Amino acid sequence: MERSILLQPQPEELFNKYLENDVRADERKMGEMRDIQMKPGVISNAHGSARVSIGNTVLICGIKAELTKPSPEEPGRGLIIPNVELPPLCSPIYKSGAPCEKAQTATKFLDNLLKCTNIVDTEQLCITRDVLTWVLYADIICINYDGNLLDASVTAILLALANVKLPMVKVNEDEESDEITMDDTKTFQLNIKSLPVSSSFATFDKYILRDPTRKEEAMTTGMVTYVVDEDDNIVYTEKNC
Amino acid sequence: MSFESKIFRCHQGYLKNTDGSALLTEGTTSVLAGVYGPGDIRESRQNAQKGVVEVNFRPKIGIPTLNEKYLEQFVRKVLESAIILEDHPRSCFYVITQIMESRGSLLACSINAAVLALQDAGVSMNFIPVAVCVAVCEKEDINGVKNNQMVVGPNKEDEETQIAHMTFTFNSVTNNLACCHQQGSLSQEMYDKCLQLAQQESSDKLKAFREVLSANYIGCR
Repeated sequence: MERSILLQPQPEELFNKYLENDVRADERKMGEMRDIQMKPGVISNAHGSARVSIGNTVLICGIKAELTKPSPEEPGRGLIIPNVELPPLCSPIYKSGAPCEKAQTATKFLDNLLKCTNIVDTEQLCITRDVLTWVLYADIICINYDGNLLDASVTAILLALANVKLPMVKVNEDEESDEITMDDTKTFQLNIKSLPVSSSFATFDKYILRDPTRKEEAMTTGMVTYVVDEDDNIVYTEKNC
Repeated sequence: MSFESKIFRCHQGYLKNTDGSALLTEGTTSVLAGVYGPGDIRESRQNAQKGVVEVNFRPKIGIPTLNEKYLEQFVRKVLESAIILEDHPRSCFYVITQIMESRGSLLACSINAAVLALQDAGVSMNFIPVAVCVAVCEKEDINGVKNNQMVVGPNKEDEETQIAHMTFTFNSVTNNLACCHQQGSLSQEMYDKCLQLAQQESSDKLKAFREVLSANYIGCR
């Protein structure tokens, strides 16, 4: 009874009361994470895919592979191009049209992460140097947004990359024609060097809330995200006050 | 630390139409920041309790891309906590950072330029954010042995050999970390060492900020 009375006119007061009693609105402790569920291979048409849910935040990642000429700066490497989308169906905040700022920054976050950690050595994507390479378009779509986009995106993209099966491709080096033969029966999986784990925390005054929900993110001012690999090395940090 | 990274030159009031501006040169990187505010904003984007900060990050060449959008959020969030926004409800601070020359430590230079522009505009702030960039680079010493060295204020050559790149922004009042961006693999001890180094550097930089302001005002009576 008391909770519903306070919820509408004084959401901040209610939020503070919870934190003072060392508990959160969904009855979790401060350092407690929500239930994580992962399932690879959910999209049969994609070369690799995964569905990840952290509590009520559900993301689906689909990877489509295409053949292209490698870029002149890096002729012996392939490309992985992430794209995070927050469509209107995932939350009442987002409208249709150009991607919102949150989605754009999450996309760049993943792009930076993949480039600086070298999780997937893009040399294995190159078929013939300077001629042909794979480019992986990793699309991450949020089905339901309830906070903690970054952790879920990192998990989804890594799981999808581990799930990718690429057909063997041969370039026919005939002088007359440049034929490319693709053999669907023989597939190879990517060699994933490491699996870093992302942890996000919302900060508010002196409180640190692990794995914030959408409502907690709206109430708090700061956000910290650490990405740590298996050797306890800090790979990526983002902290905003 | 090379001689180049010791260069800290700021010209406040560089632009005549803005409420405040600063052309900051740190080492070999140069950023021009302009501030308009507090000013009008569309009703749909207004906040009744406090002001709003909008940052426009413009690259040296071409139209702003995703990269600029990403860096914008760091500048914006630092300024949102630094400026006393409660004094300016239903208003907006427009901060435009134009990259003039990007040869290392870009994000730190941009944050500092935005802060100096706000100071020039006379905007009241909770604290002065001081941004420092530290990189861990693979360097060869005299014997040809490769080892990892921490470089404060890396230039373009340092950034090409870097293993990790960090930008720390400190709160001048409490000396705590206000904002941080780090990419590249680092052990936790190395991370702590870089943080300490950056903290020492930030107190020197704060003195430099104060000298810039003093040069403008002391002597004018």
